[in-house]
Amino acid sequence: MKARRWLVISALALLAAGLVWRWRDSVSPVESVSEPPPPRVVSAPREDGEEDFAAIDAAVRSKVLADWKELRAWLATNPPEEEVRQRLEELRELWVTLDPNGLAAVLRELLERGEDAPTGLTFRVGTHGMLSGWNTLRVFLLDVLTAADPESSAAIAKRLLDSTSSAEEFAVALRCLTHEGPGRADARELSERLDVLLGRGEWSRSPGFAEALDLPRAIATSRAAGQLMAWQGDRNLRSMALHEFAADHPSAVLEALAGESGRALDPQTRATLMARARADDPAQLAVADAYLRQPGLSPAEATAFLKAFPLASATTGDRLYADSPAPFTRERIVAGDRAALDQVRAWLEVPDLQGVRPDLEALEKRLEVWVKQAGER
Amino acid sequence: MSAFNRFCLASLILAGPAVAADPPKVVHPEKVDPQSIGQAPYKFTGVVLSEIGRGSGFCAWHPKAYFSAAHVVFDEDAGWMVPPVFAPGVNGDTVEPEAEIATRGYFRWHAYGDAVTAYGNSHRLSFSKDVILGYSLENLAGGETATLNLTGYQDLRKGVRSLITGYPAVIDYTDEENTYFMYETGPANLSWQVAATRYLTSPLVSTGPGNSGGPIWTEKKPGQWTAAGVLVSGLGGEAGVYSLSSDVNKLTRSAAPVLKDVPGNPISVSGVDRTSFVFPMTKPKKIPDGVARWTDFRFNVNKFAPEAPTKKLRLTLDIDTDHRGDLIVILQAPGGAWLSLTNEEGADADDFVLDDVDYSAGLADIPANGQWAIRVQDRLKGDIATVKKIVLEIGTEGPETPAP
Repeated sequence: MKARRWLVISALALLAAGLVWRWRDSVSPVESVSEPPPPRVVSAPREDGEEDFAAIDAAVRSKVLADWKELRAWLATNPPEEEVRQRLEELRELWVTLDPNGLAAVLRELLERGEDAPTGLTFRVGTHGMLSGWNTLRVFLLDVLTAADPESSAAIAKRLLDSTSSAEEFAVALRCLTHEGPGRADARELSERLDVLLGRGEWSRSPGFAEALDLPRAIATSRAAGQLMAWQGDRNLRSMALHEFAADHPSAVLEALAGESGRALDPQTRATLMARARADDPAQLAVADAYLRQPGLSPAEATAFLKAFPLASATTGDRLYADSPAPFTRERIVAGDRAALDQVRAWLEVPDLQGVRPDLEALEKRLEVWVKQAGER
Repeated sequence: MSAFNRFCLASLILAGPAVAADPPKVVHPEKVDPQSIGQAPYKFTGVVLSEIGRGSGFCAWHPKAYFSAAHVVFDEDAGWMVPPVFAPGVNGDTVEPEAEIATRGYFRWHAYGDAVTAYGNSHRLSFSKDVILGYSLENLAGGETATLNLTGYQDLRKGVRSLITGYPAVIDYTDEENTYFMYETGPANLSWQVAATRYLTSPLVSTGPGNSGGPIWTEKKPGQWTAAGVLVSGLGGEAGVYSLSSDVNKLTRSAAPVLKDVPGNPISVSGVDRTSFVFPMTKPKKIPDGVARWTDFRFNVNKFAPEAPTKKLRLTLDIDTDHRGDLIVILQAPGGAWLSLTNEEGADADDFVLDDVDYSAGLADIPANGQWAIRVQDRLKGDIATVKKIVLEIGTEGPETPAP
């Protein structure tokens, strides 16, 4: 019996050692156009028991804890910023190749330990939401967590969101809940998280907080748009977030604009958001029409709207939760310009709009040029 | 006028006395020979007229696209306005109306985090993102386009011969102002230094207000000029440029859907692009049934130039199953970014099959080298799913984005 136990233990130890060796040496080239050897299939569990999972998880844990210890000791020597960035990038690249379930488990353990240190780097969002700058080691752990098993990551992130006092941790943990796929939270939960975020006034000057303002766009509901409109924080940040949201999801923003929170916005922001109505969608064009015809609309706001409508410019860059903004297509712009031209000609006939006739005529001229340009392509 | 624009104007005006005091050391703008205006690289340079002022720009990457400085077209206080006009190859006292091409919109590169960093608009970090990619619905430079040099960041720092073109509104040493003659500053081997991320500055070069947004060209081979950056600032005998790198892909990726026919990967060889490689897996593999653990199919990629960004990503995948809804499948890129390919969708339909599906947009610009993985889970017991075939095609571009 004893001998058998030793045999099992030895077999597990050998398996674990083999797995570690594979991670260290699993990058032999497999690609070639002419003679492609098959890729390695790793971490596929045996179908006859749970031992493999335990061994895999143990090996992942051992590897990550060793790397973590080494990293913290090295960081204590105050290495140059660029070396820190490079080392963290390399470590992330290595860790995300580990078994995702085992990785999520050990990251949870490290986050629960509470060990942390500043990295000297500025918090920065990189390509497809992965970070290119981590201000603390815990933020780094959370960044890797989003690449681990999505369901486990979401569960870990929820616990952290309820307790963290760091804007950057909050922002990155939310990514586990916003990523399309397993682990994605529903719109209601995300809206509740957005309320918490917007209520943390002490975070308002933090880069993590600012980057998290991409959240409403990822939720994509009129409720989220209304929450953002009602937020009384940094005007430029709010305007940028609303415009990126409206460029991607104009219907949701137009619906919120028509409500109480829309009326609370400054006229300039409200006018240019309304200018994001897609004219090729009759429902959205009807909202823009009703907006321009409303008796209480000031001439200045009407002018701001007519200077921007139909707005097809946008900010873009790396974002935490949703894809980098790329909200327009040629087909929609061309169809929208044609529909907008018809609408402007109708507005020119409306007696109540004669006060903004010069703006309408200028817009008509622009649209005629754009429609002609599109036709001559 | 925003603080940023005031800063730009003030700093460029301040350049006057410094230039006058030490003219031999400073590279000045000189009028471009009218005979050369129709030739590369001058023919790609144009005037940019926006509601907040005038500047310069250049048609590059796509015949309907131009680059300029963000502060030429956007003012935080004024917000979004009428898109600017681009007038290529202008050379005279005025811009004739027939030379003006209405543009339709632009993409301005901006990060939320930068908005709360306490540096204000005139700080060097502002210039490190002071660039736009504008677009029109018609060709901007007769259907031709300049080539982008995505190693501009490195080349300028190495002192590769460079040339700035554009339309300065004020020329200090001639007192000429408010004309629209094309000027060139250089060619010269200038000493560009990093001031902040992609923002480089060089002493001993003076351009002029209005030149903002104009191109800085690099000549890596005699007579072949490629656009290596955008002029964004000037300060007493010092110029600042936003230098190009693969970062500019953030702009081109956003603009691609409105431009169509965007420059693709180059020449096709034997069915695959020269910068593409195909990574196949054809040995069938069973997935553990009803187990919430992942089976990874890994592709270790090292065929590409270091840091070459992914531009093309196509996937063929064939999973044999009686219940497609049991499956979760993920495509993970090097560094951890991932896409969900199916998340228990399809109920009891047979087989999950992807036939050469394009996922380029979802994971574009991630360094192509590294470990890619297809991760599969079969969540419910009852039938065995088998991965029969995976073909992953990955493509990149060279350092110079080619003209179409």
